[in-house]
Amino acid sequence: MTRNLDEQFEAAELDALFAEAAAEVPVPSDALTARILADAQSQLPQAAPQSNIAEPFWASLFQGLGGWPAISGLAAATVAGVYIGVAPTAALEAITTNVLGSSIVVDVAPDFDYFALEG
Amino acid sequence: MTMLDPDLDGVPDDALLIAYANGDLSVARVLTERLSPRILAYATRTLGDRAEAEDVTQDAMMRLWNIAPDWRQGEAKVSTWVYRVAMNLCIDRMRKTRRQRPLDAAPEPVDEAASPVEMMQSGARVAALQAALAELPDRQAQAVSLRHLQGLPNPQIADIMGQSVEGVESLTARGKRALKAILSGRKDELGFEDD
Repeated sequence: MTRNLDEQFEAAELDALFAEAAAEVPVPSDALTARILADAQSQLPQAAPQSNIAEPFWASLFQGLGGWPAISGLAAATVAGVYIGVAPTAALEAITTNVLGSSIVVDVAPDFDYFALEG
Repeated sequence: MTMLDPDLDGVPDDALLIAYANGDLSVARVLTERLSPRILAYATRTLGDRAEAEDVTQDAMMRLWNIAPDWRQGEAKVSTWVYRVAMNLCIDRMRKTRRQRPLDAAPEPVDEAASPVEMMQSGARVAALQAALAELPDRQAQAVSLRHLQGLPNPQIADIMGQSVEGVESLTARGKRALKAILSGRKDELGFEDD
């Protein structure tokens, strides 16, 4: 039996090798899939880049003012302002009289005892 | 649950990836089931080592999860991007294999007394092909693998490799010539005989 000594690899033979290699169809194991999904969980972005829920305007206003610390200060200043207007100090009354000519009293709620608000 | 959610069947990969980036973990399973079999097949056929191929697959998917927040729709296909990552991971591993193996050592020990019939087992022939593939220049090896082992069309390979279609055809042709030269000396062992 003579053997062909031509050792040159032919195109068809290479194609046959390719076909054998390509015939393998590996299926991801459950273990591999579990590892990939565990990675997905560990890499899941924590904060959504954009919120899908529209904020009511007062919520962004609230944040813009500075939240509760600022709001509470604002409330205190408002109350103080009302208090000064209702029950001005003697010095302030004197200035008002000098500037406006007479003391102006506006009784907002005649029957209401503002001083009862002091706590 | 291993059933794909039928409602997501028609949703493109990049839309799922955007949903994942917005905190929806449930779409990760769909993306995994779509992409990981293809990457595992490509890596296994190219490297010839199942454990290495699984590492490549897991690494490639990890990089996909990482890139999700920066993904911009319409720029590239997710599958193209993942193939490109897997290709580079395979290149790294093949380079490492070449460095670790002495130049004059055979990829498999050749038993002079073994008959060609024994070497004709498909596993050994495929291993010889993969060993020869590892000897090629990186991009020739990957072009040949993507075309002839994974069966991808040339335009898709061009996208993956960042080449023109003509460039891919040239790499494939040169790679196959080089493979034939490497394998020629082992023709009998591989069971290719004229009779």
